[in-house]
Amino acid sequence: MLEEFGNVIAAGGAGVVIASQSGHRLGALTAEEDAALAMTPADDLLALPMLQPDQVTDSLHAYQLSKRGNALRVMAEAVRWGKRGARVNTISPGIIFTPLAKDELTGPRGEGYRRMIELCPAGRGGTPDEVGTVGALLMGPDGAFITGSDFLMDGGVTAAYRFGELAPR
Amino acid sequence: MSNVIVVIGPGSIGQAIARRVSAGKHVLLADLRQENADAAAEILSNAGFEVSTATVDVSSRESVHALVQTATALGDVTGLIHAAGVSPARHRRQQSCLSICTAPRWCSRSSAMSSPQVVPAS
Repeated sequence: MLEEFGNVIAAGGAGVVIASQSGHRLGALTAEEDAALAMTPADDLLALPMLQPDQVTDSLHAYQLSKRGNALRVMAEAVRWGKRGARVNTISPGIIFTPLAKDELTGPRGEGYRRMIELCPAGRGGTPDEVGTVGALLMGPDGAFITGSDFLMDGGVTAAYRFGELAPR
Repeated sequence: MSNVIVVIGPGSIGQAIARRVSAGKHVLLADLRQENADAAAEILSNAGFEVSTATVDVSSRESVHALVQTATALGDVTGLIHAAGVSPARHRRQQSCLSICTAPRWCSRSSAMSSPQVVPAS
C-alpha cells in the first residue's frame, strides 16, 4: 500500500497510517529484527523466521508484531516518500470509541480494556475526533518537519503499563 | 484536475481525519466492502465534501494498484489516510491483511467478514 501510493504521491503530499498502541506493548526487538520488518519486500515478509508459527505465540502477539511492523515500515517508506517531497507518519491510537472498540469492550478481553481505561493517566477512552486532530497536524503544513514518525496516542495506557498501575505483575 | 485524498478504511477515525484535511479536495473512499464505502460517502457528501468510492483488498497488490489508478485518474494524490484495521478480537476470525500478516497461518479468511474495516497493509 505505502509502496504503491509512494509511487504517485504528489510533492507536498502526506500520508498517515493508523496502527495501534498494541505495537508499543511488545518488548524491544533486536536491531536485526527491526531492520527485517522495516525493509523486507512486502511479498517476502511472511518467509521471515521471526514470523513463523512457532515464533508467534497467539493472535495478540501476531497483532502486536503487525502493528510494530507497521510503524517500522512507515519509517522506512518515509525515506522514499521524501524523495518525492512527501511525508508519511503513523498514529498508534489506544482505546478510541469506535464501533470496533465497542466490540472489544464487550468481547473476551472487555474487562481488561475497561481496566485500562480506568487506570490510565487520562482516565477515559479517546474520541475519533481527537485522532482527527493529530492526523490533521501530520498531514498539514504545521507538520512539515514531521516524517517517518509514530505518534502514540493512548491516554497514557502504555505509560501505566510500563511504569504504573497497569504493569503486569 | 483536483487534489485527491484517498481514505482506505473510512471508519470513524478515517472520516475524522478526512474531514479535517479534505475541504476543497476530492475524497476517494475505499473499503473492502462497497457498502462501507457508500456509508462513509453519504456522511461526507452530506457534510459538503466531493466524494467517490472504490473497493480495495489491501492484501492484494493488484487490488491496491487498481486503487492507485482510480485515484490518479481523479487528480493529484496529495493525501493518503490508511485507517483500515481490525481489533485482535476480530483478528481471530478474520483475515489479517497487514503485509507482515497476510498469511492464513494466523487467521483464515472467513465468510464471517462482517467488519466495517480491514487491516492495514503497508
